[in-house]
Amino acid sequence: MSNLASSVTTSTNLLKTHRALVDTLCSFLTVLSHHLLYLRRIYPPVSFVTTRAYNYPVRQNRHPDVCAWINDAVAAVHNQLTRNTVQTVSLCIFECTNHEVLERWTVDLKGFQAVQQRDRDVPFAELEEGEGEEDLQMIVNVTDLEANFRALLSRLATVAGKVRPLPEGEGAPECSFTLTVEVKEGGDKPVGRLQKEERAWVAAEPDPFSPSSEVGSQTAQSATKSGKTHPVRRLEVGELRLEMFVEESDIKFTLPTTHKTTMERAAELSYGAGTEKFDPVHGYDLEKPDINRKPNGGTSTDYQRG
Amino acid sequence: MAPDFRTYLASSIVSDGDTVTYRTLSRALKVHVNAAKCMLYEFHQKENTKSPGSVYATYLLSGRKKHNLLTVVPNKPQVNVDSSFINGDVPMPSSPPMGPPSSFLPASQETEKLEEPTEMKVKTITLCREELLESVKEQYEHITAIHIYSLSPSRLGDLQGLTDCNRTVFTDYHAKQDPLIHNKDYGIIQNPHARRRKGKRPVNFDAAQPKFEPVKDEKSASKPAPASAFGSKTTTAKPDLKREDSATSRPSSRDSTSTTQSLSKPNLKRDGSSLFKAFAKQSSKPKLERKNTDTSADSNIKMGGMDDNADEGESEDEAVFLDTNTRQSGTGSRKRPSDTQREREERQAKLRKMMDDDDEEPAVPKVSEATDMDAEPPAAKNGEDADAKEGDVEEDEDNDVAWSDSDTEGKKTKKEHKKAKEEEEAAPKRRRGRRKVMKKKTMKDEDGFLVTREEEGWESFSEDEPEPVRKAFAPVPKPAAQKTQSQTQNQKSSAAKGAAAAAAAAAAGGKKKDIMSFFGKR
Repeated sequence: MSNLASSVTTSTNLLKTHRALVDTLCSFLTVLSHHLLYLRRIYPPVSFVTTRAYNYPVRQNRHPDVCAWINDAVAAVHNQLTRNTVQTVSLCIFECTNHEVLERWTVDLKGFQAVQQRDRDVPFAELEEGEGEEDLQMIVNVTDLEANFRALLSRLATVAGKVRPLPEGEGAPECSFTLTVEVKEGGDKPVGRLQKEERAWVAAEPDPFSPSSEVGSQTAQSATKSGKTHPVRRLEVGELRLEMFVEESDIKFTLPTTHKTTMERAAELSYGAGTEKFDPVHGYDLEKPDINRKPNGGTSTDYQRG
Repeated sequence: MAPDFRTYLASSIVSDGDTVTYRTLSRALKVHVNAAKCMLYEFHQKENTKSPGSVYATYLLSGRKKHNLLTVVPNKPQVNVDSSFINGDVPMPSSPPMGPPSSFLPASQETEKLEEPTEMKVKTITLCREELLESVKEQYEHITAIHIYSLSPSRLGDLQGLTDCNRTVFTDYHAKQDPLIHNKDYGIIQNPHARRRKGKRPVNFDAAQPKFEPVKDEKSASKPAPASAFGSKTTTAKPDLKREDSATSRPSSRDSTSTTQSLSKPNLKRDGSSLFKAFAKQSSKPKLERKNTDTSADSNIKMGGMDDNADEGESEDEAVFLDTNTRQSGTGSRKRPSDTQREREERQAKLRKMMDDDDEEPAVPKVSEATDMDAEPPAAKNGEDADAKEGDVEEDEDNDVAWSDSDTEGKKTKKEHKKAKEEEEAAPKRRRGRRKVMKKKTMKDEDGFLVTREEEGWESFSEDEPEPVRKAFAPVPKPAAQKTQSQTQNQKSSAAKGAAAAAAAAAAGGKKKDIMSFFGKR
């Protein structure tokens, strides 16, 4: 249904005005949050349902509180975006005992246009006509937008596989997540509001990742700076420009996980050529089928994080 | 090709970080899929010996699993349901209530009820990750096939992402190469009797049907007239001009959505079914004066009549009117062209019976001119049918001359009758009624999770034009319950797109059709 009027020559309304841009970005952030929660196994896989976004299979959590929380958080981000205060938006995964951030999935919006409130519904300047084929390349339509989002999500899945799994197993702390925004220089910080309705944000601890916070500091609390950063993708579609990357903190590497190192996994690799032969006498047992048994393999038993 | 595959795989997996399935590899290198599977295996082995864990594989196993010794115990009618769980399948929602796909048909079950308990053979196909390969293999009693499904640079968090890999197979390859020709290269099993259709694509009946050719009541001298009238329509070249007329007129009725027509007209109501008129819903399309155009009577008239009914029938969400007992209502159901044609044929047969025909050829391309109602079978524009029609049309043309002499009177009366009918229906153009709509309901299930289901509901509508249907439609699928705002996020964007699209559609209007027809199906 979204393709009803989309043709190669018409540009999408989703990116024409600043308001539309912000809406598109926020819906993408929602999809992203849900999918990241699945990829990082914050919640049990069984609570996620497979759905389709931008023509890509994506996971969505179905717990009402999780949904409500994400919607509220994205709404608050939306609010800040319209006030042009946002530099980056991040999904931070932290562990619950010391509130140390383990991973940070960041969407960098420094290329995002800052537009006055009154201009929010003004369409962005169109390209000049009469350029021939170049016009077609510059004009954005829904298909292009979807393709870009798909590429980003696909790359996200790849990077999520590369990143070390979150702590799991005995002695591992619980992990949780939150959305943070980094405010532009001189931007109006949305904290310290007195009215209840406006208290959507809390000031965060100084950033453990950025180099500036460590200069000269000797406190044990400041994390060592040798975390890892992995780029995900840069997206430029019309006026929507963002970059995505993920940072892993050092603390994460110190925590236990059931992750197997690549060497271990390689040693167990079989390439599918079995050595056992099927033995009809002893080969199979006739245990009674358990009708409540969940199917083996597949996603519902993919609970291990590594 | 052999050394190339390694460079190709290295560049796409290691450098680009894409996931490669055996299907995309076979299309990219133009090799048989079995060769592609071998390539994946070799690459996987090599890379992992060089640097362990650099490439991650998923495997596809087929065969018979061990725990499928399902005994069919007599007097246990619910075995069907249990078997699906026993075999590890998850019952998937499917519209027609059939047994689970992996079990035998109920018919055979019944015969077996009286016999000793028997085994049911179940073929199972599993997609598994490389680390689970050994454990999955142990579950199989007998493996008939095992091969690598995909390679990726890192562990896949979500196997569902593999569905996106194969999307490129369709967009990049199937769209650009003729599958019928290339299937053999890739190893796709193909029906040896399958053929590509000649002739025009069948029209998408869900789209608004602009209108048909003006009626040809009399086929007098006016053969050139039709030619000019339909001059704007393009069809595949036909040798004979005469044939061209009728042939173009026929396909043009089909192509109504894609071509702009200088006379893009609404429907002509054939009087044929006075009975139908009584029950029929008013068409919203303005009627065309038939007087102007004459073309060979047969096809156009029929097409018009049929399409009129088809139009009413086919338009979205029409409740049952007319003789549409065969129609399934509901937005989701789109009948296949073959089904619609069959229904049309039935309708036409009924019409024919009702008319006093001079000549009735039951149900067949032979057109009887005298009764403008006679419908040719709506005719798939198959190559064969088109050929058959051509033959018939020729005959008709010959008959035309003869008839125009003798039967003009009969025709005149019929023409007047038709015109009268037209006028009476010209006035009310509104379409009203109740229609079935799929509404989404979100509710909490027993575990406390939000579950969204589509349910049928009825809503009344009334419209002046087809366009508002589209517009009204796009925002309708918003779920009533606002509990799942996340759901609405997804749908908001799609509804926004839909609304934007509908707005653009309304704005662009007919002009768009030109552009779209140029680009063909998007």
